[in-house]
Amino acid sequence: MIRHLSACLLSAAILMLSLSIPALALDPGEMFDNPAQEARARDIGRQLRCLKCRNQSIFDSNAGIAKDLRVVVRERMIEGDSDSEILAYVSERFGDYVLLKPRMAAHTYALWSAPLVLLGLGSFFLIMYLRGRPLTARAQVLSDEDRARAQHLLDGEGSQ
Amino acid sequence: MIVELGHFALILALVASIIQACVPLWGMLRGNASAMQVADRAAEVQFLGIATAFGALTYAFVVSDFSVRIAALNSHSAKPMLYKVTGVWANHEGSMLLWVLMLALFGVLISLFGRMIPVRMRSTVLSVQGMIGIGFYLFILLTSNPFERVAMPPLDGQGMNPLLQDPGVAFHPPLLYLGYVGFSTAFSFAVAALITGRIDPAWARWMRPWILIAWSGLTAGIALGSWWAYYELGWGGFWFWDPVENASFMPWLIGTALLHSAIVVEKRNALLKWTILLAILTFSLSLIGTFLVRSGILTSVHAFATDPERGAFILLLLALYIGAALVLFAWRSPQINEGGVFAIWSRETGLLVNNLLMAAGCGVVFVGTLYPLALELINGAKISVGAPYFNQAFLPIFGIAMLAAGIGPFLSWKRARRAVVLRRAALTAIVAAAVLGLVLLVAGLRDPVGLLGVFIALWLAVATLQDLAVRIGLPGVKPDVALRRIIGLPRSAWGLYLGHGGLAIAAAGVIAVSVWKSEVIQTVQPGERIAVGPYAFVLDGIENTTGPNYQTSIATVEVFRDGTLVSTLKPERRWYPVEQKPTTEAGIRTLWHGDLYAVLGDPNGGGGFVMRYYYNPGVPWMWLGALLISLSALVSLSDRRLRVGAPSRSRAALQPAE
Amino acid sequence: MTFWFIIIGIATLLALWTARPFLRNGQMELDDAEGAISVFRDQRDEVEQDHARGLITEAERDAAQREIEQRALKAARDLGAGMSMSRRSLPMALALVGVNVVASVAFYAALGTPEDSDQPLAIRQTEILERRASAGDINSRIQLLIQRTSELPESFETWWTLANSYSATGDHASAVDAYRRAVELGGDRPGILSAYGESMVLANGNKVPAAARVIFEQVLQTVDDPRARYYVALSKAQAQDFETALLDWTDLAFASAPDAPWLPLVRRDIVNMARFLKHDVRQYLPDATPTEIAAAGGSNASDLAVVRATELETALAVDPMDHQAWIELATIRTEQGDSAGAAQAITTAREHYAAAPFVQQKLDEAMRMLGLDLLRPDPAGPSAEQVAAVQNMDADEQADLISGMVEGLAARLKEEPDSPDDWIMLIRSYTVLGKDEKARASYETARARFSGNTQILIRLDTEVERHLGE
Repeated sequence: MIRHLSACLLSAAILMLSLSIPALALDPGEMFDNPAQEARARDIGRQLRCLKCRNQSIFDSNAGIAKDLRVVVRERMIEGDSDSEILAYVSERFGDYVLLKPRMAAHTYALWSAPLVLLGLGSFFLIMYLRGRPLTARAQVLSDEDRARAQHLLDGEGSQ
Repeated sequence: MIVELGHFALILALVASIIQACVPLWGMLRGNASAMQVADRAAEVQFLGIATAFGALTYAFVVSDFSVRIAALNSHSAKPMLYKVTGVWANHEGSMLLWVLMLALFGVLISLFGRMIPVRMRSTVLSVQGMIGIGFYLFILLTSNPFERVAMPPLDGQGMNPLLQDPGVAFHPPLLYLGYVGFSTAFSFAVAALITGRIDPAWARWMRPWILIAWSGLTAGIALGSWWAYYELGWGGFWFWDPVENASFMPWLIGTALLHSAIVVEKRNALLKWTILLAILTFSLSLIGTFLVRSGILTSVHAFATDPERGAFILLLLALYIGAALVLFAWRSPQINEGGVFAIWSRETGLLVNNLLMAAGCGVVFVGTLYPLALELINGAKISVGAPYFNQAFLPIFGIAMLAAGIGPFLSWKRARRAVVLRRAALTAIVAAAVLGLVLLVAGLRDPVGLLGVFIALWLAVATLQDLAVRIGLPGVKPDVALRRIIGLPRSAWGLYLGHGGLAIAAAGVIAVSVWKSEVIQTVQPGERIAVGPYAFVLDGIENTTGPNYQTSIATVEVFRDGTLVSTLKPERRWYPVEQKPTTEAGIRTLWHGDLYAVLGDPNGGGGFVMRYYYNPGVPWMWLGALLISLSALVSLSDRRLRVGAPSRSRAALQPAE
Repeated sequence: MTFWFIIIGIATLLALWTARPFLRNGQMELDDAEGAISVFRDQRDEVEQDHARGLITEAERDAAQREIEQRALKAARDLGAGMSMSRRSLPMALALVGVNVVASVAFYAALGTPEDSDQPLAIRQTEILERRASAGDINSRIQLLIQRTSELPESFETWWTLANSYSATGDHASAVDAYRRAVELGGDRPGILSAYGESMVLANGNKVPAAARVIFEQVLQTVDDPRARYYVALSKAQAQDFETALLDWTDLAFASAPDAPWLPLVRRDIVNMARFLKHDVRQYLPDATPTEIAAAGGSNASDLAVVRATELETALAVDPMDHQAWIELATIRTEQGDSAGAAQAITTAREHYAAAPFVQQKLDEAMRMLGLDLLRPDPAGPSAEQVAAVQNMDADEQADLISGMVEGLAARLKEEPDSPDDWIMLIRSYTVLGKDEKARASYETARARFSGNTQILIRLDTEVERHLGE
């Protein structure tokens, strides 16, 4: 019960914070001075989803929780974690939902194989189609009489 | 009374669509010309009805009649007039009304400009359009009635999301729907071909103008949405692989395939079944997009499950229309004979490869968009599929498609000479590689994938120019002959060059901004000078003032290059008190090679402001390219050959009664 | 009824138009074969043109011609030839019209609300003003009253209420005109006259004009009106007759009941006058409070500030959720030269309001006003880390943070009460904190605020039902 209540309160706190501060994403206070490090932090940020936004990465979002996650990412970087360790760290706590790039696992094989399967299937059908059809026209030569009739039709008196 | 008349007009449109669906079909089967002609009249009445309904709803928004529920929820008396009008479609009910307005518009246009289409085909097409209409009119009237009234009108409306109070996004939905709904014509032509059992080059020529209009509108609509995101959301992004964006991108991809395969049908009487299937698929994806956006399933699967009325209704329509069309296809298509033959090396194969790549790309977007939904429904697992996936899975396919688009026009119809094609491709590759070297010299290398991208864009541009040159006989002829030939080129050829050229330019822009963008986010004191790429941005000061329905702070940012003033940017931060929401308006100056872009952020309490400065090279090319692509379809449309109802020698003899 | 005739008329007309093909004979249409062949004819011409322009070779042209001819033959063979012609059929036409009209009118009868007329905002002005006025908006009331005075220019009541409304909004110049009209219509009743006089004073920048003094003295001849007495005294003071004015006011203060609304004003003037004349205020007000004595110059002003500061400190120790008190405390400390203490007060307030951005903003402003930001150039806001740290707090700290946030919201709503979402959030937060009393009170305030807006009222009601179980 108490746990539940405090969870409620926490979510109320986060909600209000994010509603009342119309700040832009990424505030200079949290940024690294070293441009290479900063670029790396952003690359990682682009791969993490802001949990309460619709399809925004934490790098793009101005929600409070996105900022928290950015700070977490930066802390892990200072700790010396590699990119994949950071992503693993975050997804361990928040679930696979935070990964904008789904990790390769049994439930995403179908997703990741989609481009190759689609291209492969398409190419297969294309080749079958091209091979299965006659390369030259069936000898459907028009007789002179037919040609004359066709010319007649095309000259515009045919159907009368 | 005007509002209630609008409501009645909407019902009249429903009844007209029922008549339009049933009577002509019966006439077609019975050979009754009068019944078939009812299709034209019903299409006119349907359009009149829905246009009146739309007008009445617009009136309610303009005069702030808050006894209309959606006006009370989405409008406000203090809104500028433009946004009172665009507010009509900035909500669920109004946008569905716009949807059917477009549907009826296409119906009446087919009836007006399709007099050269034989009555059996025209009335069957209109009948299918009527059937689509019935479902959506019922959807609107039964689950999303825009004319619902409230007993106690509130004192004022609740306003409209200020992000949408912008001219760019105001006209985004009408253009997008022009495309989305325009593809219903392709669907109707395909189903009509299956019903009447006739499909030949003439059929493709009657259908093609409508696809061109729809595709052009969809292209422009997508570009406008992207442009709005770029300047309004305030961090310079333009495409987010958001499911809503994907929903409009999928019909565009398949529609592009359809556009190309319809040419094969018209010219060569080949790929008939495939084209019919593509036509059905294109509109199916439009319907799926409508479902995704309108059912709320994207926001939350659970929200959809708890309030399923609207979503379930569209899902039912979706299953009904797509299912029926596919069953009809399975039943009737074995009777279709493929006509023209072609060799492996031929324009036909080239267009087939285009179709394959577009369809595969569309498939990837489809899978990526729906995978999280499907997975959550199957085992409750929540995953996200975002930009990194799409960039990795989709862009390579599109890259190959662009390479193929370069070679495609080299191939001649029926049978191309392989050696010639390969020789020309080699030349293209050499020229493109040379220009690439030049680009690297000037701009420097940032990343190898970007390098490949630049090469592909150059390849397409060079190939398109090369094909144009060969087409007019260069370099073998004198300039005056070449000029005469350029002028004499058919418009459809210009369509090809503009379309492919536009794509190359747009792609170059996308790659340029992804690779060479400069960005600075910093707390800036007035007067402070910040270097961004080759430019220096200086914050002059902030001025507070008010707009028609908002308060705003406007910053003045001067941009210098090598000490000379290039431009003065005016980024804004607005506050809309009615809606209690802020917006940012980026300050943008467009130069030929890129945009200077500044965004005003929060004050830091010590007189400084968080500023975001960007130099975005290539962005103007993106919009220019998109514009060219969109125009290319219209140029093709203006080709005499496609002008529906083009004068024909025996026409006068045929229409004595009019 | 008219409406029904109109829609039946429209439906019939359009139905007739739909059925037109069944009313006419001999309307011809292009048949399938000729339609297709006309396309092939165009195609053949285009092939010729392309050839003439040198875009295709002779062999290509011939092959293309051959194909087109083949298609034309096929079309002529497979497709129906001959004209399709419309045929008059009265039964069909009547059936179509009948179905059309009956279906559309019946469907409308089921869905439509023909009795609802249009309600554009322009024709709802009076209604809107009435609803605003009943919700307590004085400007709307004034608008309504102005409308009514033009309808009933001889009504004393209307002018009187209008005049009172004007003076309530502080528009004394307009009030003077309205009172004058009320005096003309209502005769020289003392209450009316003294209100008129008062408005003249207020419109004149608190200087008593001669005309007003005449009016007040006229009033005093009939009744002992405190207002008139006050202003006559004021007028004497303004005529440099300070001693008499002071005595008059003192008399008035003695004659007034202890809870008379004008008493604080009178006492203030006595205090000020006493200070000006350097008299001991206790001579005039035996029950003068220490504050008053201090204000009258009887004791050191900074002592008073110390007293106030102690008061504030005590109050804040009991209930720290009063940001204005914190700001006042900081102000007093700054004036006393205790910048560190002032900064300390603001910092403590910040901690209590860690999650209430609106209050944070107020505190920031105060800090800048007092020049305290110079002490600490980078004031630490409620950072996201702090919010994230909520997880690690113990229950008390957490409750403190949350209630700070909620009070912040309440404070904001007091100044900007226009957002229904915020009200709902406040009600919800109070419920979650178990403060049902406050939740209910906020609900009542919100209801009063949004009365007339059904949409919002429904949302509020739903909220209360869900959380307070009503």
